[in-house]
Amino acid sequence: MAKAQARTKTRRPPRIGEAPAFRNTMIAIVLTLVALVIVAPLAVIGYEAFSKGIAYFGKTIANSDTRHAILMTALTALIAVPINTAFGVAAAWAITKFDFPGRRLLLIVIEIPFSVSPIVAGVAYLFVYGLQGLFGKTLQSADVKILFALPGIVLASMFVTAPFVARELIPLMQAQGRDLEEAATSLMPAAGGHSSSSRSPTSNGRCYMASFSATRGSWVSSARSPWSQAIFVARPTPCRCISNCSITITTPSVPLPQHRSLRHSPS
Amino acid sequence: MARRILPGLPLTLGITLVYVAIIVVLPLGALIFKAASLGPEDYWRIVSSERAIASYRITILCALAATLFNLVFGLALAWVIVRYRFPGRRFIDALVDLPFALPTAVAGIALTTLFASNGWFGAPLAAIGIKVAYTPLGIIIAMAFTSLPFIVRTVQPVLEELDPALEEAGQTLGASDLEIFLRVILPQLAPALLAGLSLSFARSLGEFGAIIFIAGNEPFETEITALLAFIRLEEYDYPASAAIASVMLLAAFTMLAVTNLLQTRALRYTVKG
Repeated sequence: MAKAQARTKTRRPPRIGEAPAFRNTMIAIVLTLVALVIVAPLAVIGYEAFSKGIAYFGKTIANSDTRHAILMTALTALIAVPINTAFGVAAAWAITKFDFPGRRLLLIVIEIPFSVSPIVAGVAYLFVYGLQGLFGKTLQSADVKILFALPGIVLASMFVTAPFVARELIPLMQAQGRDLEEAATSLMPAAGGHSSSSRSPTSNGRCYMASFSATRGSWVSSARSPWSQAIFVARPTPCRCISNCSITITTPSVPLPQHRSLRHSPS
Repeated sequence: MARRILPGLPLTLGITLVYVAIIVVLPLGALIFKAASLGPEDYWRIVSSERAIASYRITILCALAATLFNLVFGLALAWVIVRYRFPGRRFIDALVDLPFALPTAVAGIALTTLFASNGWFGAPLAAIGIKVAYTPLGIIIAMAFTSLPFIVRTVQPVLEELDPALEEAGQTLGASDLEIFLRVILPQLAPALLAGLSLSFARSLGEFGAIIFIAGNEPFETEITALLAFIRLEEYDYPASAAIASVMLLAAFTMLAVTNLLQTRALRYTVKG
């Protein structure tokens, strides 16, 4: 498929929608909409952030509340992302390489945080760790603070970002199938228990690619700071001005081109 | 069941189950438990109160409108990215993920600034009498912004893998471009498109951070269900909050089951093709 597309230079009748007039109109319309819908909101943040001058921007960032908030966000991501990555890889391996009863249900449960409202998640966590929650009394008597503290923020952000890595990996690993790993395992029976040492070069390559897309998933999960849960799991002073908020934008926004090459991985 | 050749099932499945149990199932279970402790009469009274019903109506209608917009725009965007080569294509492709990566609250503040009556878009729109911020239109825009990547990213891979031979067959049989798009391409895209739509719709139903800034949050007018759950929480009316949240959870779960069904069908389709 990919090769066929690369050879478009050879003479063949134009595909649907390749008439220049249609093509250019489509590109023009879509580019305009992208500019209006995606670029403009970004631009307005950048513009507003510096509208009072660089000095004011610097002052806001240097503010101790802001610094603490950034630190908190970074710390949360640093804790949540590795855990989520490990979970995502484990889940993807279990779901794509094996058949077991309840596999479909597990897949749905993993994806719940994707479609459930962050508010629902926040309320739900309150009922587990809050004072009137399941563990509230026990936690209070043990003097462990989860809600309105760092553990609460980390737990909530782990909830919202739980599916990201798994969801990136599952379609990829599903498309790759099981043959190579199975072949490698059967060729090296001694290494049976250690999948990492029994990988053929190809599946090593695949593993590498998978880890690329895992990183992409984790970037997404780290960039998506769990604001709306944090609001009542942590009760922070919410950022009041745009210049405060705009720093969140500097978290990388997934420009990974290798993701595309993944789609054309040998299959 | 065939004999397992690959190692690691107990380990990976164990990790997955424990994690899912602690992070996802336990809190949601606690939520349902709390909502169930209300008793059927109280539960029904809260869930079917006039204000709650108004919020469902607003949320669902706005989510439908946003999803419809995303259907057209997302499909066009995926089409342009996949089918055409032009400078900046890669950049556009990367930009698609942006609403995903941006904290929704930041998106909400940005959109509000943009559409406020003195904003870049708000001022000209106000001049022709269209008010966006603090109206349902604002809610629709916020929902559309945050859920756009879902449609593009589900349709894009399928569009890439389409077999040109099928289109060529249509061409040799004398079909017009429009006919080929409607009768050859669209049917192949349909499962992925539907899955993307239901994901996008589910996300819109639950969106909170982006909307509360732009919506105005007037009860019965621009108050979304997520906000109502939050307000009840602020009032320390925990059971009521749990009840409303449980309705949203049910909606999300239903949408998810639908999505999964559609995706399985889509997968079956692509594997065969």
